Parts: sequence; C-alpha cells; structure tokens
Amino acid sequence: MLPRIILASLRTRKTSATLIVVAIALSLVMIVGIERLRHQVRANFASTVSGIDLIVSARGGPMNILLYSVFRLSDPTAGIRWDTVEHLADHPDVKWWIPIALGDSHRGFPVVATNGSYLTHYRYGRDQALSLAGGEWFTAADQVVLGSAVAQRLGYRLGDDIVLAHGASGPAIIEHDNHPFTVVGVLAATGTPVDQSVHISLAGMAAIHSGGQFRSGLPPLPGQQADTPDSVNAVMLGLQRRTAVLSLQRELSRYKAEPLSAIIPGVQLQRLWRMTAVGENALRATSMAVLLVALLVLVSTILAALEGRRHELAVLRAAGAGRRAVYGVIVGESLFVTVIGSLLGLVLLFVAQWALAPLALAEWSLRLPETFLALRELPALAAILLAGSLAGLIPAEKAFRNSLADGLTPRN
Amino acid sequence: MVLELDNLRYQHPGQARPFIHIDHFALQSGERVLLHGPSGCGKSTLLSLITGIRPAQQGDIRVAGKPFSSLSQRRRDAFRADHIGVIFQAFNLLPYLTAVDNVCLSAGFSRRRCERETAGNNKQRRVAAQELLTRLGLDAATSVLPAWQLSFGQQQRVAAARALFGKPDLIIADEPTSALDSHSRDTLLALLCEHCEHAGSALLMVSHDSQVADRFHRSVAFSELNGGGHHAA
Repeated sequence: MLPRIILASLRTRKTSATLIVVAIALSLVMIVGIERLRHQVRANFASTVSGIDLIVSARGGPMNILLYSVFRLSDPTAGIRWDTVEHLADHPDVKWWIPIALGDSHRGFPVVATNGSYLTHYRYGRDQALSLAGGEWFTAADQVVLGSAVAQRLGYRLGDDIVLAHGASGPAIIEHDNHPFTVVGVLAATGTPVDQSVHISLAGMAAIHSGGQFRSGLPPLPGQQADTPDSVNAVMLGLQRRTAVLSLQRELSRYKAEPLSAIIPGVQLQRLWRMTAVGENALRATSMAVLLVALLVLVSTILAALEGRRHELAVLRAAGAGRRAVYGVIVGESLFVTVIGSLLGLVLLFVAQWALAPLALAEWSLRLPETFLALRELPALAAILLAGSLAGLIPAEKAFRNSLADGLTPRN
Repeated sequence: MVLELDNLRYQHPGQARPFIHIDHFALQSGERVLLHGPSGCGKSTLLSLITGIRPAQQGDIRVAGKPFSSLSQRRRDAFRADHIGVIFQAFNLLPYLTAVDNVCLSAGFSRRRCERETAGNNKQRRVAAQELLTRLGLDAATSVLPAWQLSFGQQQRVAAARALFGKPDLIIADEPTSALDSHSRDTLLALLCEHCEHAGSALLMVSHDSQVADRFHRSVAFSELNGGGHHAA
C-alpha cells in the first residue's frame, strides 16, 4: 500500500518531483563522472607506459623526462649521444630499446623519430603491441607513419606528401619544405599519445635538420635507409629481468661519458598523481557540494509540500498509520526520488560516454569507460542513496509531529 | 462497553483550566450516540483523544475493554487501525487514490479488519471494498475513479465505507454531513446507521445539528458531558 501511496502522491507533484530527480541525476553525473574520468585518465597514463622499464635521457627533472618522452606534454631535454645509445643497446640487461628524437611538429602534432623497435616493442594497455591500420612501417628516410588521430584529423591517406616543421608546437616556424615526406602507414587507435604522433625514421629526422650530420657525409637518397643521427632525446628500455631496474638505474646515473637520468615511468606516474591530487580533491569537493545542494533542495521541497499534505497525513493517521507508516511515506518518497535520480544519472552518464567516446579518442586520445556501473563506484552510489533517504528523516519527523498536533482535523 | 471515558482531562498548552473535563461517559457495543454542541466547543479535540491520535493527559479511555489511553503511541496507532473507523467532516480521502484504494487504506494497517472481511490478500480486499461501496450506492465504474473526481456526497460515502470496512467496534464521525444538503445528509446518515447496525459497530457522531437525533439511540449535549470544561469560544 505504501509504495502505491508514494507513487500516486508524487504524481500529483510531478513538476517539483521531476526537478529534484534531475538535480540528483546531475549531481550523480558530476560525482561519478569525475571519479570515472580521474580513474580513466590514470588508467590511460598507466597504459601508455605499461611495458617500459626505464626511460633514459640527458640529465634533467624526472617528471619532465616522463612528460616529454612518453606523453609529449613538455619540452625535451638536450640529446644524448649516439654512442651512449649504442652502449645501452649492447648492455646485457637490456632486452629491447626504442630511441626517441623529438623537436619537430606537423600542424601541431609532434614528430617522433624512432626506429622499427617502436612498432615491435612498444606496449600499451594490457601488453598490446602497436599495429598498423593501413600501409606499413617506414623503411626509408622520407617516409612517415601517422598516429590514428593525426590521420583522422588532418584527413591524410596513404601516399600523401606532408611537410614537417621545426619546433615542437604551434604554427611552424621554419618549414623543412625541401624534404617532403610520404605517408606509408597509419597506426591503429590506441587511446595513448601514440595516436597524436607523426613517426619518422631517425635518418629522416637527421636529414631535415641542417645540423643533422651523416656519418657517410651525404644526405640519403629518397627511398633509401640512411645513417643514424648524432643524437636522440631519450631511449625507452625493456629489460631482460625487471629486478635489474634499480641496479641499472643506479649504474646509468653514474655513467661516465655523459650525465644521464634514468627514470622508472611507473614511479614517476605515482609522483604525478600525488601532485595532481590537490586538484582532484578540489573537484571532488565541488561535486560533493553539488550533491549537498541537491539534497538540501530535496529536504526543502518535501518540507514545503508537507503543509499541503496535512490532510493527507491526517487521513493516513486516522486510518491507523503509526509513526512507522508516516516515516515510510515520507522517507520512502525521498528514497524513491533519489533512486530514480541516481538511475537517471547513471543512464545519462552511460549515454554521454557512449556518445563522446569516438570524439574523446580522436581529440584527446582518451578511452572513455564503457561501464554502466563499476564495482568501485558502489560505495559512492550507496552513500548517495543513504543520504537521500536520510534527507527524508527530518520532514518525516515533522510530518509526524504535525499529525499529533493536528489531531483529527488539520488546520488548512 | 465499547468505549468508556473516566475522569478525562485535556488542556491546550498555556491554558489555565482544562479544555476537556469529562467525569464519565460510556458507549454500549452497537450503540449509536449523537454528541451535539456548537462548533469550537472541543468536540473535535475529544475525538482526537478517543481515537488516540492526540495523547490524553489525564484520565482513562477504554476502547473495547482495553486501557487505550495508557498504551504507547505505537500500540495505540495499531489498536486504532484494528478497532476504530473514522469519518471526517471533509477531506476524508487521499485524492490521488481510487475510491476502492481509499477504502482499503485502513485494511492496509490492520490484519484484524482484513480477517473480518475474510480478505486475506490484496485482491480479496479490493473485492470486499468494492462490494461495500456498492452497498453504499457507488457503482463499479465510479469506484475506480480517483477520489478527487467524485462529488462531495460520493466522497463521504467512500469515507463511510472506509470506516466500516472490517467491521470495527467503534466508528467515530466528526460532522460527516455538515457540508451536505439535507437530502444527501439524510441518505448518508441512513446508510451509515444501517451499515453500523449490519456490522455491529457502535457509532459516536458529533454534530452541531441536533435535527438528526432521531436516528440515534441517545443524544448527548456536549456542554452537559463536558461538565468542568472551560471554553473561551
């Protein structure tokens, strides 16, 4: 009987009930959405560095090294010499190595000069290797492989000629237009910064820089694999045994030939999260405040409606309703409104995720979650429902007291 | 005795003398008593006390032999659901429920009343409620309308049906006919009295209108009953 009364009574107050439901839905979207986004960003960052044991670069701030080498969010440090790269490549602990040379851009997308190891050894997500959506990996100095987002945003196809610019970001300052590159491959989407990158060979990078030197003394001919450059910015390392990470890190920090920094990406990420925690907490506090406001609105609407419901409650009391039934009607109503609001919020979030997923992947290389409700979100949801039903307690007590004072005939 | 009041006192907060002061009043089982008096004299307050919605401050109220007034609020509410049917002057119904649902309302709070209608489940309850409404002159099509669509006379019949449902020992009616024209008033009263008789329920009705006294076994002036009561109004 009580559910029927709650539903029928709410139906007579459709407008205010709908507004409350929407308010609760939106605050749930904020709370759960922010939490999901935070979790997803972390997961994305972690997935980007999933297979890398060490990143070696010229001596510099570890955070800067992480941000520029993997995420392309910062400016690269000075280069490390090619003999150092060779030293690393020959080191017995090293299983694979990926050289990274940065500094150029193409229409705002960073250009990454690397070699074939990038395709074979770079791992993202759960140990997934890169794959080509079309074409093949570059073999010559004048060939380029595009990340999926670059290809999509700029509308390039295999066989197109593109010109690379010097300088990492913004409009091209100097265009190396005497060295047009041909698109030979496009990578499949990964949801990592790889999607936003333009990949060329180290030789290609050397060739477009006037300062780039060739051991053979000659620029490479088109279609011909060329020399190695004199330096690269960073080298990503995969080790034979993960346990060797710390000892190799120590060893490299004492490397004689030039000052080096070797960073463990996972450790740096943890530090990064500690740095961003303040901002995240501020966001979380904001969404809590939004929920609090929604709940206060819920309490005040129920309280405001009570005056008009005095007769209704007197009828219930006369029919034998006790405190429990009066509480049931009022708390049940606030719980019901909260449940519907939460469900609506989850649906909104789910639809938004689904609708924005392609955009987020293309624009920010961010994979949006595909869940309707994750297990780790249950405590937050339970807290919202609990708060919603607790919000009914104040009006319920007031309603019961009113009914005692009113007796059989409420004042109108 | 279905109802016994002894030495009952009640005063509103801030009042110096009791508003209600009844030495003794009793209602036989099945008896119909009219309590008449001008409005504002405390009749409604008395009914709130008798139904146990307002706690009594002093004195004894016994309903169906039980020391009703000394029960806890919770037990009193449950006891009211089992033993007392109530009809108000107006606004008897939940406007958004159908007539049938309104009649089933008290049954929802009282297993005893369901048993007395031999209505164990929801469906049987609704059938019993519908039958009762038919006997009170509401056809099946009208009974499924939401209460706010009914005429006032129809609403009062639904209220009577709700009070009568489950044949409670005592029916309390607070000026149920005051907003009706004389014809509707007579029809409703006739139906109410007939069904009280049929159900074996005692009826205590308060009214400012003593013209209806001939339908009752007894008629008591509130001012006589409330001997020591002090009335500003």
